[in-house]
Amino acid sequence: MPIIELKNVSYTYDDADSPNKFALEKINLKVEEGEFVALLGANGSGKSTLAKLLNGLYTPYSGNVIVNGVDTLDEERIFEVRKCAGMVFQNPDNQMVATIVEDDVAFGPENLGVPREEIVERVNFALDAVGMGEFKKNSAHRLSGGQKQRVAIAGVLAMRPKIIIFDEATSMLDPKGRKEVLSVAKKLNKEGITIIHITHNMDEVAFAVRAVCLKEGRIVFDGAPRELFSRPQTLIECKLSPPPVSELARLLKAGGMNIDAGVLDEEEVTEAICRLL
Amino acid sequence: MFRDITLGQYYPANSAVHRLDPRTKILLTIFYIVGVFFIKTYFSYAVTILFLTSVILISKIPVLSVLKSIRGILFLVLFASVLNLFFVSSGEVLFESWITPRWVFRITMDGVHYSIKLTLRLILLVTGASLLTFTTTPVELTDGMESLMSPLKLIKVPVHDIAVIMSIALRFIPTLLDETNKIMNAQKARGASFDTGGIVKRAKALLPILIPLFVSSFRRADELAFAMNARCYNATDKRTKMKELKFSLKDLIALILVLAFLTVVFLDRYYFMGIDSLLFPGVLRCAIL
Amino acid sequence: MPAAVEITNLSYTYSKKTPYEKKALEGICFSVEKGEFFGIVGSTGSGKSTLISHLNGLLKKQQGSVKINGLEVEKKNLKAVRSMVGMVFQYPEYQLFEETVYKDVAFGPKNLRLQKDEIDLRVKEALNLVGLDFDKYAERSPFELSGGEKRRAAIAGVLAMRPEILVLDEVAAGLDPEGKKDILALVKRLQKTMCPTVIFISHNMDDVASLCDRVAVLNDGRLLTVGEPRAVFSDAKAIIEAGLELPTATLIQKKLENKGINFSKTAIKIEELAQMLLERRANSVS
Repeated sequence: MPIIELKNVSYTYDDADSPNKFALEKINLKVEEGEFVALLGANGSGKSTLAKLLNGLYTPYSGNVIVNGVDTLDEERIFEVRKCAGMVFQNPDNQMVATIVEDDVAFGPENLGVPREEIVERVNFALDAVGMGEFKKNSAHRLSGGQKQRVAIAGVLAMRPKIIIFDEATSMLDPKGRKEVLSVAKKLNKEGITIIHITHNMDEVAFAVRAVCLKEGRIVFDGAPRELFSRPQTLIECKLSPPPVSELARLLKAGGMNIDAGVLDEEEVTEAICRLL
Repeated sequence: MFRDITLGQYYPANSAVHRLDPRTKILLTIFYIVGVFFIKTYFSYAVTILFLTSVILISKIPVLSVLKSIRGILFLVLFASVLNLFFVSSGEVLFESWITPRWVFRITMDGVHYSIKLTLRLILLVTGASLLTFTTTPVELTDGMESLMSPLKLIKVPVHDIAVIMSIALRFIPTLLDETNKIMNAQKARGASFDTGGIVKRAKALLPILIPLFVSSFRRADELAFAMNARCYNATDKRTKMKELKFSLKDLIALILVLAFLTVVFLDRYYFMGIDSLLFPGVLRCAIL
Repeated sequence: MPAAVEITNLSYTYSKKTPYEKKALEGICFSVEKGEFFGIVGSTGSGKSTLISHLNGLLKKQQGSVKINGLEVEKKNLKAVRSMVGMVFQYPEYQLFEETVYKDVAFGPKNLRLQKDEIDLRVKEALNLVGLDFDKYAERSPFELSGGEKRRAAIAGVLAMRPEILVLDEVAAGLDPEGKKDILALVKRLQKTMCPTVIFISHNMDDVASLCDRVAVLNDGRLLTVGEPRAVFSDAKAIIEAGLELPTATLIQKKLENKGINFSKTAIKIEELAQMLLERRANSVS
């Protein structure tokens, strides 16, 4: 059974009685446990709306969202959904509730009523897992953007989720911060956590196993990133920019070099070029 | 300009006072404040000054910092005591002048004593209370208050929610200060000026800062609410706390010392009423004091 | 003719004589000529913000000299400096505050105490430059606009001051690919019209490589190097030591060099690299 399933989900921000515009229209999506899915789209494509439907912050106008077997419409069990599908948001500042790092990470488990000694264990484990163990007693305010986001990830990890959703969690970070967050995401995925990475940045898609592209509330592509990179039309349609490596491959191909357009990163394109020269 | 503001008056040091449980400090500060209101005689004031000075010394707070905290209210205190000087008309008259046949302007010995004692009382109150914030971090204070308020849960007061609100407010103060600075810079870059003109002009000049700040604060609150919900806030009433406050021997000792202080004050006021006249011959006991 | 911006021996320390003292800038020297598209790069904490805050006197100088069009930046001529240097901070849409877009864009000219007709002219001009249709947007509340529109309205607010020198701090931050394309196109347009001199701060080396005439690299408060992008990015070691990345084209080129494929010049744009590779292939075939 897929760990996340969206069945014919639609959502509108308009008045429910007379909706005009749908942010999401008849979305069908299945995510298996352990997948690393990149969810792509321009602003207004509906990707952020989709994120909030995944952990029940929004409930669908029509259709069902089922997370780990629980329907998000089930109000009694909504916290089970949120415990299972943790979320890291875009603004590093607007997720922290406490002044001290370890207090903030403890917020989730405290809310769940986890016994005291176990909270301490979980907080230490989570902070170590994201590489922020030595900042336990630091003031959250003075951290860099990447560090704050890692603390936010730790705060989610401390609730022992099966899924972590990164809702444009890298868009406000500098390149260093983005690298930090992505490497933590990769690491956690290797340990079995399902990752949904929502972004409009194509160079963060390379190590995703699956890329889903949204355009104006509908899924336009669902497949391997490599496949997506070799379809510049799809990217343009979704108002996304192909990453520079794809651009290079495309130019070389247009110039007569028989290079595979589906290269994912600088390493691959280098290899490909070497083989041809 | 805003970079140099440190939060509150907390002075980091590792003294016995710093290490007391914050609940102890909050409660004992309250006891102290109550006690100060019951002080009657110069003897008690002397005892209190001695007591407070010893606490300041134990807490390793530099005396200069403590005096600075009085500086703010000094003017008000002196103003109040001088005013009271003119309104006490009992006791030995020192100076008298009839303004009208009915209305006399009089300064009496009792008035002098009353003013001096009022000044002392106010200074002791402010100094004692500020010792609390000098030796306790804001986070400790909110934890302490949450714990002390927990009995209110029985009458359905949302103690935990209030504590979370206080904690969030504290956490966002430096963030909001930074943002204010950024907004000020952006508006200054467009020619705005915040330190010229009269009161009305300066108040108007604050709008380009306050409005964006308010708007962004609402947006923050919205986003924060999503994040808190996503982390299961209010999932269950049976929430737990990672940091536990524990009383120790130090707290018991502090309690005993403060109670001893209070005992001296109360005994002096109600039982040894003549002690001032023994120690300070010539000081008349006044009904008001 | 004096340089648009001339920085000599600029140093700055925050929170002097307190336990939080931090040296943010040390001995910075460089100049920007009129008409240059000048880039400033550096990792977070390298002193970029401190540096640009000196350009319009937001920070009071401690040591060194900052001259705008030959005028030393000091308290007595802040007004003059601030009408020559327009500064667009990161996420400028957060400074919008007025009831209507018109009023917000007019804020700058009003502070300059211009006449009503002049203000009206400037607002129309600024909105036109950023591509916001006056009739459609002037009377709307800035808070109703979309993210991209808000940003353009904020930039219009700066343009209404008619700055000759435009300082942009991460102007494309947080925008999606299309939004970013639009904003960068706008910036290029502005350089050709109202603001001949542009100082462009960015984390994205590809943007810097393709837009800038010259670039200054800051590292830990010091100026590491200044020069044309090609020269600056050729020293890969220095760039990486400064905690920065290379433009993608340069990065790929370095990887190819590691595999024994050498080139005569450093590519900083993807189109250049493609061309160099195609030429090489053509040569090896013939």
